[in-house]
Amino acid sequence: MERRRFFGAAAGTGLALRTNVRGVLADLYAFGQTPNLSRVEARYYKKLEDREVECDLCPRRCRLGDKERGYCGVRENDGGTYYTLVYGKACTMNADPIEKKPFYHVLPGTQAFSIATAGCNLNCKFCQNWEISQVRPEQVRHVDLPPAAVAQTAVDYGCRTIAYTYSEPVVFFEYMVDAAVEGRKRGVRSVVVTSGYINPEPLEALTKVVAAVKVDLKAFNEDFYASYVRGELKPVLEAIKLIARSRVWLEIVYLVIPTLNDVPDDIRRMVRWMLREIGPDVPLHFTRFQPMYLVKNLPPTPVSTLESLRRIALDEGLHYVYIGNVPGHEGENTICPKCRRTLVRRYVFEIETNDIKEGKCPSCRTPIPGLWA
Amino acid sequence: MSVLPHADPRPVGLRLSPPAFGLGALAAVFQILLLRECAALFAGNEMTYGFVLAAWLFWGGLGSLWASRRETTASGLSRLFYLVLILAPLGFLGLRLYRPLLGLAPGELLGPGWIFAATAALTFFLSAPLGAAFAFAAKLDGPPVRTYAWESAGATIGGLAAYFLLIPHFANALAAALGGAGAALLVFFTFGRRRSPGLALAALAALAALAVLDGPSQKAAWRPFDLVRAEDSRYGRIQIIGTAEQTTFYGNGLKAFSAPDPASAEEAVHFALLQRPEAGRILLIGGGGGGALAEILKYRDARVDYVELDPAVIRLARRYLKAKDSAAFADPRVTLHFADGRAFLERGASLYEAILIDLPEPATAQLNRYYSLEFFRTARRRLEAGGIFSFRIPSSENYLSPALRRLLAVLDTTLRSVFPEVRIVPGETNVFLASDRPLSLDPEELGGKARGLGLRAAAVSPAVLRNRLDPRRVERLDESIRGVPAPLNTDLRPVSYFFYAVLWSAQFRGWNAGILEALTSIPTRLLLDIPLALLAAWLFASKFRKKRGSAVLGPLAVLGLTSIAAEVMIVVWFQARFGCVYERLALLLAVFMAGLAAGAFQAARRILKPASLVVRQVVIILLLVAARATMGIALPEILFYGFLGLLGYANGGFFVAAQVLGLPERKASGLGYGWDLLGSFGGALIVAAALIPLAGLALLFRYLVILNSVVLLVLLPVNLFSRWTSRPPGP
Repeated sequence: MERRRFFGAAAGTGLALRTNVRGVLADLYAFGQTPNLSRVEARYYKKLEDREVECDLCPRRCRLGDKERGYCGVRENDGGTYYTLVYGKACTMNADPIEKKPFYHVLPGTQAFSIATAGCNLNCKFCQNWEISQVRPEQVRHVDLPPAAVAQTAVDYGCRTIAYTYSEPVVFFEYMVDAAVEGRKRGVRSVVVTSGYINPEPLEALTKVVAAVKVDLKAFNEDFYASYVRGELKPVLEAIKLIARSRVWLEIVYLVIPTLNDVPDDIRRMVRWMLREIGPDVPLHFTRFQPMYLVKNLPPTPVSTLESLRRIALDEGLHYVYIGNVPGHEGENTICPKCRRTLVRRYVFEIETNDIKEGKCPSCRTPIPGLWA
Repeated sequence: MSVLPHADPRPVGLRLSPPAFGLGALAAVFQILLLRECAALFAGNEMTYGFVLAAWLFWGGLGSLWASRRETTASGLSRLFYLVLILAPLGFLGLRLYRPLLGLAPGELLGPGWIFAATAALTFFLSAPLGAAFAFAAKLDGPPVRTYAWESAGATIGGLAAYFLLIPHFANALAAALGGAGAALLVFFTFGRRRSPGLALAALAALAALAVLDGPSQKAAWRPFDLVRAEDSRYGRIQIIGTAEQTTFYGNGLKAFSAPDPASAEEAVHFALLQRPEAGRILLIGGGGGGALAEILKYRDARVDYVELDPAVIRLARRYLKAKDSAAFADPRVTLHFADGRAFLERGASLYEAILIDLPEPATAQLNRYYSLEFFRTARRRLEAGGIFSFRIPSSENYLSPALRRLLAVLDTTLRSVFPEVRIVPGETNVFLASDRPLSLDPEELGGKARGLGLRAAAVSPAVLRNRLDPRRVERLDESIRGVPAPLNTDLRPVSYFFYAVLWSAQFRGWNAGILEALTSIPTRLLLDIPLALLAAWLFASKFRKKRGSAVLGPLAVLGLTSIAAEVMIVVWFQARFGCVYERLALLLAVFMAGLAAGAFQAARRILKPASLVVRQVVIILLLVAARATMGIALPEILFYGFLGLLGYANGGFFVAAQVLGLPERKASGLGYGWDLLGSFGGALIVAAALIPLAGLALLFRYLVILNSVVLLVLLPVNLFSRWTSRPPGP
């Protein structure tokens, strides 16, 4: 080999080595990339001594030293000031049918401009969006989409609502609240899809600016929350009660994982709790589990399990009990609790018929609660 | 100058060593069954073979080292045999039960760290006492060369017995119990009945427990789910979970299909067939049990060739699925073929209008065969003009992580290098469509066709199509995949299998997610060049060390590395070509061991000279060169056995010669074996876990040739570097 070529090759190898060591480190620790994170002060936290802070956003109440991040991975203490790192940093956005969230009593047949950032304050083994919820914001690609741009894009896409969804909107609370305010200015309402793992004070503030909340109730026992969700049930129930008391529309989704959270007695206790605390008119969706993430090896939910749980809930006295993820099932439809007339006929995301007139059943004039217009 | 301390002119001899023979047989049977057990437990990923082999070698080495420092007697050895037979069932049952013991959910995915830890911990029970037994047998019945030769001979017989007698007739645990019981009786009668009858009974009891607990242990691992049936077929472990009317089939612990699951079946079929609804001749590979067949039959003109590898799957599906879910098997428009789907396509000549692949993602080398360049070419050859080829990959609807993008990009690039037109349906699953004519992802057009056919399927209902095929979504997916530089996925460089592993490990937290990811950002050549340079430097350095025997330890380590790496590579090559390693593994290993034994015996009968080493090393190099040269050719199966046999032959001879010539002292008996194992350990771990998919077999064979050529230089009985070394000339 000529000497010059040899040196050229050696230099090339050296260069490749150097750039790749950086690449390796970046991949290992997600350092080294241009982070492009936001630095907007968080709204719910306490300053403590020695530049420590305590986050007041969710029931974890992370207590953090300087440069530490909360469990969610998207809030950081910098010198005693607590920042959200994902304000205006949307990592996914789509125009989805609102039935996909699912909201069945909110503007049927309309589109929701759906956004998310990285991060979550829980760690469900069956997460559908683990690629964004279980990572730090440095590990995802995101676009700069400030609140005003969110609202404007929703308008441009012809969406009636903005949905904060996919990951956990609680962890991008400030971004969500500001986008909701911007949306209101443009006549676009906001809907939230959350696990409800949030403290009362921020939740109260949230209910002032959004129109509807869907809470994922993952089970009705603390054991399941401890082992499959890594959270607690009690604060979620408190959040549900608070939302129900507010002027915000509430729907509850219960993802039925066969054998793990489908015990009929638990469901009966849950339904009785709902009747006692939030009344019979809050829609409850039993959704079929399509295996995901760490438990993607589990079987999907048998439809008969969903049907028997729905039967329990209806028999106990809930008015609107749905079955989700089973296309063509009668449990997709909205039925008048009084005269049993089918009011909204759905097929997956399709509204085949919608007979609700001015929020009432056209046959018996029973008010059907929801946001219909 | 000779590199060797002295050459003993006497041949070693051949007298039978029953303990060594029995040991080899027992070790081979248990090793093969353990490999199958791990394949069944850890989703059939061939990396697991590497992990298990590495752990096996590591503990075997340590066991042998431990024992080589101890004195023993024949009863000590017989006790050790019984110990193996008592511990082996514990290892098997421990592997099955460690999920529930650790509180992991049934079916929960495990990170590579977990798999490595579990295999490492539980292999200990089998391999460590076997390694110790080897050293003891060598002491009692030495010399070590004889032990080695008879152990290899025993392993051959054990492997053949496993292949012909045990595996075809018994479930894995039962086969292990029977093999073990046979060994217990042999030990009992060989060592005399008075020696440790209590232990003999305990061993039999433990083995009986393994046989009895086969079903219950599998059930316990699935609790609280109801395991209604488990069966070890030729191709893997089939398990069936029943939850109300839902029946779910698992192959090697991975979900194969669940019925009823219309959403999945509709997706597998309609995006492809709506492109060409009048298609008549359709080939479906896999997925029949999950309802894809029934979906295809919704098209009036469809005639389906359905290819399923494992007849046991269909037999069990007919028995355990609800009548309406298995009705399609009996439809007159369906022809069932029990064959390897790939071989089926390669052999036939008739043309299809659509070829649909409904198999799990390329998580193993076995599955990767359906996503490789070679397979895509075969598929195109068997398609009519305008025919559709389709498969699908689990994806993410809302966000593509870098690892996922890379995997999709590899498949997209490979597919586009064969078909002029490729479209990808976005969603939780990406459906890949390929053809030589334009394809449509227009929601209105596809929805219109579905309506025209009277097709009621949620996957292609108008609102779903509008959402899923929203042009913004389709475009975003294309953009994010097509910007990623991606290598082609081929049979012998199965990159998608590695990228799938990266993706899979990204689901877990901690270092093991990062390690695989990091490996992808280092140029592959560096991964190979640096270890090669270090090994070469070490080999040359050891040549000039004064310590006795050091000259052969390096070559022995390289021998170990080469043989295990080549073995794993041949297994992967075999898998890519024939797809039935789970069945043939025992035979492949037995042939290698037979070669090893023959080589060792042949060498032991000869008077060995330093040139003996050189000759064997040359044979090894020639074999590696031959493997490299024939890589692109569709070799018949027999040649794979031939290669392994010859490789074993050269290997066994080399080991004996190196041992006799380089480490003649009895004390050093464990040393050569130890280095051999150490090299094998490194080879198994690194090559299997990372280098095969990253570098590809061709490049790896080339590097093995270079490495072994360096060994050859070291072995040459001349000092090529005398000009630079100031050592005085030999006497």
